[in-house]
Amino acid sequence: MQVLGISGSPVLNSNTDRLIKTVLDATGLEYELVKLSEYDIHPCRACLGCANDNICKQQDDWHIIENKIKECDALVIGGYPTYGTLDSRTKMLTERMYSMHHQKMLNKGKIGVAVAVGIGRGIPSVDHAADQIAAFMEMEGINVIGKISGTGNITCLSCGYGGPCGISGVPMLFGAGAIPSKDKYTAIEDQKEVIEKANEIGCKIREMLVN
Amino acid sequence: MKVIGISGSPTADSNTDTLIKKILDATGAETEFFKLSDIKVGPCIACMKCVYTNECILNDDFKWLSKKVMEADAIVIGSSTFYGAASAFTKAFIERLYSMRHIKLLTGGKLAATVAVGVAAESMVTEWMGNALGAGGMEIVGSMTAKGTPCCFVCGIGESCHYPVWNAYSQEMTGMNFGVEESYREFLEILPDNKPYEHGSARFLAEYRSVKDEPEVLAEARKIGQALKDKFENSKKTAGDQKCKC
Repeated sequence: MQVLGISGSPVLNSNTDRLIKTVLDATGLEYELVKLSEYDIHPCRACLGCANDNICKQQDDWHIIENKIKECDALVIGGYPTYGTLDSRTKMLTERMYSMHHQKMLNKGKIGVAVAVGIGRGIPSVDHAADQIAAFMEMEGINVIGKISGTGNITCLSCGYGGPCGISGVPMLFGAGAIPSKDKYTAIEDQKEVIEKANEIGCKIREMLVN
Repeated sequence: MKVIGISGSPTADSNTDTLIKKILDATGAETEFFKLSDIKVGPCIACMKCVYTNECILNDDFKWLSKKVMEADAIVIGSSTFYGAASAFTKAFIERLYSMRHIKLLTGGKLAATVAVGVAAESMVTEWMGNALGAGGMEIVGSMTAKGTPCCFVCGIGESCHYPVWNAYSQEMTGMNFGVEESYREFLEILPDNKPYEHGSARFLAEYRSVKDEPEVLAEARKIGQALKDKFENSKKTAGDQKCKC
């Protein structure tokens, strides 16, 4: 497997998943997409047991993901912002990847792509989440060739509460008085520029790995 | 007054823990301290089952911790800084507080204080925690940061490793000045032949950095605890006055 996609989004077949998959498909290479919410992984415990052998001593599903990361040449990591910063599952992944950092920098020179999907529409948190993934990758010596931010759906659209909610995010995004409705949903496939960028980055991965 | 302290630092007896406990002590209130790495509070699964009940359906320690949050008048939350952001322990806990937000904003009106400890970027972490708790309707009474022990001081090979934390946050690597060298002047000497990610060369002037040795940091924690106490007493007094007028 040459290209590995990792999604921190827990939502089934989410916009985040599909945006990562767009990049992966465009590579035309053998790939795998891993969804962190399907694995039992935990935050780093800062025990530094990995300092000498680069192997985390926590016994959980991290080791399955770790083996996949070791095998790949390009890594596409996607997350989403919660309260304005990268979600905790993707954050966990970055922390556990720290075991590969010490002395040898095991991921140095790999190709990296940072993907984030957030509520967008002028709210900067999605770019912040993508930047956070990219900054992490750079600290790991990964060659970040692209960052992609896509727009997803605020939870207030799908929460199901029909009544007036004083803390709804819908008016913030769609204007005063706006209420949840089906036409406000967006799918990543409808965002032409985002899909184009994902395709371009996928092709670039292919060029770099094949040539 | 009830105050709870929640630490997202996984290190035993960490600087983060010390500062949270100092704040708790200075409130003079009934306090409890919880360490997220000792219990299990996983990430939000975005199932939205909490919309009407404001109760998360995940069966882990958030079940009782959320009750502690609801019983508390004030919350002190602290995190270590990993990769320029709050620890995943802290992040997961704050995500789970979202269950209490829907429609009713159950945490609204509580007082809060934030603490972040790190080598660099800890001010971003304390600011983020304040924003997130503020979105839950809490009033941030105080926030503070402190410099901690870089993990590269204790891993065993930090002086010669090419990739220590001061190199990861260096101007050469990030294009930003996090001021690590300056703020660790008494603890770390980065030698002239050090080249980030190519050649590591440093000398340690201390084995660790403890907030217990920094009176001004401890004083700031006490000040925040006192501010929580004053704020709570004032709000109680105001509420009492309003009651009399009725």
